[in-house]
Amino acid sequence: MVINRSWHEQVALFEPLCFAQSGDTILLLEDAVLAMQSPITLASFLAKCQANQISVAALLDDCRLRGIDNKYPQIDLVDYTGYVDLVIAHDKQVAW
Amino acid sequence: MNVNILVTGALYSSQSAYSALRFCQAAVAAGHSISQVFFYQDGVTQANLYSLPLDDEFDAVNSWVRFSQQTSTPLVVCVSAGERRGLMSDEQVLEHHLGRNAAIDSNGSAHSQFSVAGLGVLHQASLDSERMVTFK
Repeated sequence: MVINRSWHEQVALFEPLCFAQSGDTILLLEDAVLAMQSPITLASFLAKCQANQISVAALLDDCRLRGIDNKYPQIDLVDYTGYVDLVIAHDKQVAW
Repeated sequence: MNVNILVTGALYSSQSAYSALRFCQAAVAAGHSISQVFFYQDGVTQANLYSLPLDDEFDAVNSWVRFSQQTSTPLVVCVSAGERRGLMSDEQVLEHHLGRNAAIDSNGSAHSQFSVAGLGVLHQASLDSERMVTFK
């Protein structure tokens, strides 16, 4: 699953969790990476992902464009090549 | 692997053009092929021939055109989404008799590198491709 909206739209960050299953990956793209600046919201999000065995990744280029450092070992930073690899590794992609 | 791309974000009010283009370039560089890039809903604005950004800004329309020419990737605009937003080929302008109005240029607003087609083309490409990726 790919989320590209800001975490300020709370639904955008948490709603996909109602549909994601074990083995899925959620990629934070574009404004969704802004969630990495909100420790409380993100901690809740990461805990839910971990409990359901859902991986979380963020697009490195979008983090750099917004001046965001990754302080979370649970989040894999991927470049566009890594994004392509994720698409190849998963049968379906859902944009949220 | 064959990847079908769907773009629905508007030109410049979303990051979809930049994200989708970078994804397509990375996919091709990794040895995959893009079956087509289909522009739907507000995404049709990314085919606007008359989009003229400043020289130091990202030029989405011409970036798509260059990518398409370099990789022979078809760029397809949804016909009805385009007509709702005034995005038309030369043929559509003639078909709708818009050229009769002196205030409207007789040339279409869709860049000639983009073809105009219905949702059936998107449906067929999604059946023929192994992956489908959406950029909103």
